[in-house]
Amino acid sequence: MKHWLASFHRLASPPIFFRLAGRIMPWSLALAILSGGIGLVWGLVYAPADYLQGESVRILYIHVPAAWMSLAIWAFMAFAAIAALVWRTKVAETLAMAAAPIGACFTAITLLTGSLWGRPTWGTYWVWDARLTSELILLFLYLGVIGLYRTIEDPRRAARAASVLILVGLVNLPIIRYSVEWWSTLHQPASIRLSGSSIHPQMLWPLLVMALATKFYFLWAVLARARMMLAENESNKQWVRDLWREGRL
Amino acid sequence: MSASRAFLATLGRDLAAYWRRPGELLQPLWFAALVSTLLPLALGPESERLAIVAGGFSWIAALLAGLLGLDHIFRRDAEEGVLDQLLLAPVPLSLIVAGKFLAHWLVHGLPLALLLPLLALWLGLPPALLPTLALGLLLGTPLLSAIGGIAAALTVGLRGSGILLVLLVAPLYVPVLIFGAGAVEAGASGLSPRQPLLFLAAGVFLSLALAPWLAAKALRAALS
Amino acid sequence: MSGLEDILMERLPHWPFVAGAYAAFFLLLLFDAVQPYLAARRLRRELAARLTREARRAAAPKD
Repeated sequence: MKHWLASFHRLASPPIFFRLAGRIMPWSLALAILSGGIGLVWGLVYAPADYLQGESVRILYIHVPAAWMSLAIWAFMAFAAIAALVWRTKVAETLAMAAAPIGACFTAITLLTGSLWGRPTWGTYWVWDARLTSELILLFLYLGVIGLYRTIEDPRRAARAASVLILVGLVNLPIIRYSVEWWSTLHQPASIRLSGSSIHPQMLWPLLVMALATKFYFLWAVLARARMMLAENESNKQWVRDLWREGRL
Repeated sequence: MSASRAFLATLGRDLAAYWRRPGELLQPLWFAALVSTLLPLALGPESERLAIVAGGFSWIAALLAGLLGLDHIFRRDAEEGVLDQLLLAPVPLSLIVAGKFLAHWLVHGLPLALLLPLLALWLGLPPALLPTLALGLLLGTPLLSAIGGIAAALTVGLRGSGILLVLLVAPLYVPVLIFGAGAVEAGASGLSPRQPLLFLAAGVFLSLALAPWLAAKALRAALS
Repeated sequence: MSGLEDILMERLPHWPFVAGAYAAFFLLLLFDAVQPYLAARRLRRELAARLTREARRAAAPKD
């Protein structure tokens, strides 16, 4: 226990984080590509077309995992933000800020794929329905975090200020999650729950595999971005120069 | 100085400072009245249509008018260097911030919450919905002050932060808007507005506990 | 061959949307994924410039 805690604490050191992240990244990317490939083939070729939605149901194999990620990444950022505000470690600040553009990307994917799914199934690209609107608001929140971080010059101060914004924005997460149940609108309620799902296993499995792939992709992307942000912010320090001289940057 | 005295002293000091510039206090109210007159010009004068949108429109007016005053919470203190002194004061910064938020709500939020229901009536809101709208605004405006205050604290150190402040705050106001306008909507369709109003009340208590702490964190991040 | 044709015929009304959605997905992810590489290249260049400048300053004769 003590040993585990001690090594956890050492993660807060940028050079150690840089080295460890570099070791995790190839595995995580390989797993993302592997599970993504399996999920794609399964979802596009083997999974049956839906009785009602037809072939357009195949969009959901990317739409739903991306939507999960758009919420999960904000939750991840909130944990990192609390760590950044309480312990003031550079690694936590950097992780929170590195995750924001990835979250914005997944939110944009969710909106785009959802609108392309809506046209053949609902007959419209966009409705001002609770879940669509709150997902759009989530995109604006991500952009707000990125914008605030970029506006303040000192990266550490910027990261702490943006961390506060992340925590305030956390209020929107339950609203997006429950919007479909609170307001009966066009978007259907969640069909996948921990206790029994209402969709066919032949469609559930590719969805879960794709969700796994997006998780591994996020792990890779956030580590890659955080590594580079740390090295950039510490480019005056010896460890970054050593890495550059050894050609490992 | 004890913590409660610090809170009261900040409250009194800020109220006095606001009182010295009565023109600034009238601006949000003036703005709310102005946009209310623009609404019939944009939508046409049919009273039935205006009656439908009056409730939701009051909430939009509250949000936009609330944005106008946000910059006042910390800006002047930051320019005069008072804020740097407050950061060093031997009392919890969150209590000082709470005093500033309360002062801001008393001079900006409360008058809006009182004026907007009247403007909505004038636009043709069914009188039966008036208590719902007024109660919602009374519960919602402190939330607007608290959320906006945190964002104002975040941007206080930045030059030309006006637009950024608005861009940061507007998405955060969404839950307040959803529940506030939702209460009026529920009342209009004959349902009980209890649930959304209770959500707003829960939000007020949550922000009472968290907003001063977060704003203090934000101030320290933005200034030190 | 006829099996493939059946699949294509069946997918005809929906496939542009499916293709568009998957294209958007991969394009956005690709855009996201190259950012760390761009940042690394920028950083390497900046460091190279800074270190050569420092080396030149150190080597220059002092007056």
